[in-house]
Amino acid sequence: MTPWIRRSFASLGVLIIVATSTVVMADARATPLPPPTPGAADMASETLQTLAVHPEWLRLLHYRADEGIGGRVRFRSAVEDARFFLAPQGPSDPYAELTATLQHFHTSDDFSDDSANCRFVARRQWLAQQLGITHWDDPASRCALYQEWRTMIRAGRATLVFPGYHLNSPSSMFGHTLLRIDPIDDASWTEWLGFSVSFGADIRQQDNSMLYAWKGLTGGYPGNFIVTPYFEKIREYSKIDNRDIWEYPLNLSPIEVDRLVTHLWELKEINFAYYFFDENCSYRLLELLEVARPGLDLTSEFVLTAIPVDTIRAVAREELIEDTVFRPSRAALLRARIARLPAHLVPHIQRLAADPDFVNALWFDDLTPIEQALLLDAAYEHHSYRNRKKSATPALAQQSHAMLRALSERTAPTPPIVPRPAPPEAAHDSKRLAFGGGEIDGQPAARLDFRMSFHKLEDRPVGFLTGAQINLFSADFSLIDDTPRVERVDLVDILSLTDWTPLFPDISWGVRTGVDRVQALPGRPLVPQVEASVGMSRHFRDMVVIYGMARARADHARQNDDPSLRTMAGPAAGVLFSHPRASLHVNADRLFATSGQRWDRADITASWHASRNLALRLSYHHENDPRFPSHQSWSLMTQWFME
Amino acid sequence: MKKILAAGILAASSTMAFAEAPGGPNCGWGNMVFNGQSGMVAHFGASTTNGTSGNATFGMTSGTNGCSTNGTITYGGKQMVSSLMGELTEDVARGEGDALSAVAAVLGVAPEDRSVFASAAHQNFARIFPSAEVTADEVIAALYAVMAEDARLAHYVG
Repeated sequence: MTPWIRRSFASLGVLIIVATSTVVMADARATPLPPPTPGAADMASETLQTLAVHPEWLRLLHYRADEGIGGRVRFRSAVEDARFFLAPQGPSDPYAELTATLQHFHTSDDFSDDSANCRFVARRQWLAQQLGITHWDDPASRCALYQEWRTMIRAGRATLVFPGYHLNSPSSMFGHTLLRIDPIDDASWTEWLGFSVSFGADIRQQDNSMLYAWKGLTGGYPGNFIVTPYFEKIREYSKIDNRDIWEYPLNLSPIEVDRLVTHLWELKEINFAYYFFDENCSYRLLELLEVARPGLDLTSEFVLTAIPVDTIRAVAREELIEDTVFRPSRAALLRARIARLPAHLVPHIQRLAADPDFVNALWFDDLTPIEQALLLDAAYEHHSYRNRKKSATPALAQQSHAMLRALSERTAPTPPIVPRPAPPEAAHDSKRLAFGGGEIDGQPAARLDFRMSFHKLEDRPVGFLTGAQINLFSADFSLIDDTPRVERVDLVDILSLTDWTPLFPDISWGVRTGVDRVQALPGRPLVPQVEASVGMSRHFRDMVVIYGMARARADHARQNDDPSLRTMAGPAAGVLFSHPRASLHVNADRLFATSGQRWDRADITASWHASRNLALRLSYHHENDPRFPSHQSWSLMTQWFME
Repeated sequence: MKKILAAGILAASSTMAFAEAPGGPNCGWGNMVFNGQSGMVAHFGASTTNGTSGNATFGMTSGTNGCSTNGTITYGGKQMVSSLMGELTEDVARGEGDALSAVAAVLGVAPEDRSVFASAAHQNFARIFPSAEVTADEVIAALYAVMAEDARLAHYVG
């Protein structure tokens, strides 16, 4: 123990004794401190030891306890930022941090905006409360910047917000969560004025997708909390990304929300390591909720992954959710606007947007005022949707203005009603374990597969986007004649089958990489591979998807002990029927290798969704290389979904 | 005893959270600084804010709007209105919407006068947004003029 620390202990011990005795407390500031006695110091040290491992202290400093060898508990803070700690060994020593913090609060009269007194407001509040200290100045009255911020963030209520899935951006395919802070009991308030609180990776460089994925998985990015006006989030998700937004007002009391926001201030510009899978946006928000309501345990169940929707379910289980609010995306509203348009007007949507002088066009003049208003309403939204990612040009701006002006001169149609889909938390859980058996080339085979996350086309579709498949890490195993084999490992398997229509000409695409067996080759070699597809899909009644794609594949297949890189390409097609009770997916492709060989594959998968997290799956797989006997396998498996 | 102290600390730290409603006659849009962005420009493109400082990432764009310190416009003034211009144009054209409500709240228009405000703005779309190049300053000036002419709304800009 260094002399400095020992000195701190002695003086702290005294202070605590003084502070906790209510009689002395009133004039603690005026009375000179009595000299320390050994007994008092011991007792104080004991109090401090207890406080240092108090769950609330550990949470405020984001410590996690790991049990090491011999049951010795080691602490490590998730914060990777020296500015967050007052003791040099603070990141791994809650006790050292506690004593250094107390020492600082007792001795420092620095209340500048960057001072520890003004930054660590929740620690200050908590310690004062625990030790019964009343003479510490309140940061709320002495710290200008903090004061200003608290005035702006009118914290009374908190809402958990889940921007839904978004197909065409891999980084947001899992969804996302954030919090919104609103004042309490203000009739003049609108949610657009609230503040959003989100945690995200700070990606400064324009990293490419692969690097993004790698760094995201390994903690290569720093993550920090960001507070922005909520309407900017609505714009970002609803308008730019076409994501529906789900809002879950929480039953946190104003005092609990106050505690949350007080702690949030401590995290301003503070870096955590960001891990895409577990310590991500959603995990850190759970930590904030745990600070808000002591005794709440939300994070301990998330060890490997904290998938946003799973965290919503965890919050729901703790009975924090009061209500569910659905905010359809601008694109969903646009589709509803188009759907209610009389059929003969639909072809005019793009015509209107393309004609700067539509008001004087004969065809437009022929429409009734009601038709004109309905058409303008839809055409404006479509124009806005199509150009949402372009930079403004005078022509685009003028066309928008002309359409809105014309709309304002007519009776605007009421906003359309978008039917509320099943909420994301009603979906099956994110991990999947399946067990069963069947045959591989006529031989009985037991089958086992595991998927870390998240959703395959044949799975129960409730709560997901139609035609979206995203899996990160899945592994299939077989057992034939007591010989276990890896059948396939997918690191990434994404299929994005977006409905193509003249007004929404979105392409479909897919990528898959990992190792799989080329069943058609003798010896069924296990090969590393990467596949990419691009094409078109059509959706019918949100239940049937038909798709056709061009597919390319590269793999490394060993033939005659001679490893060779194969590159191949060809057509792929499929039909998916998807219903909350059952699904059927039929797909096939035919690839031609640059060496001239042909390879055909076909799959039929039927699933019966017995309940949210239980399904029975029957699959058949066929492969053919004209040079060799064809391959066939089938299996019947029971699938369990779990968090 | 501890409980009372705790309550005291909490009360002290939370009182300032319940400041005046945002907006109000003594501050309002006129005090804010606008970047002269055209209203329609805001329709397009993700308004990315590159090179934001730490304060900006924590919701603190205030200090530039001259209003936040007295608690009247508590809401990142300049950024908010410039940012809302696109949605505001749409809502005024339709006569309703979240952006219109938010702007009404910022102007301090009481909930019972919101529909009057919305329809006054709607009926004067061509005055408030005379062209695609209109600036936020001009929009605000026109909105004030429209409000001043309305018996129910005049006192908000008086």
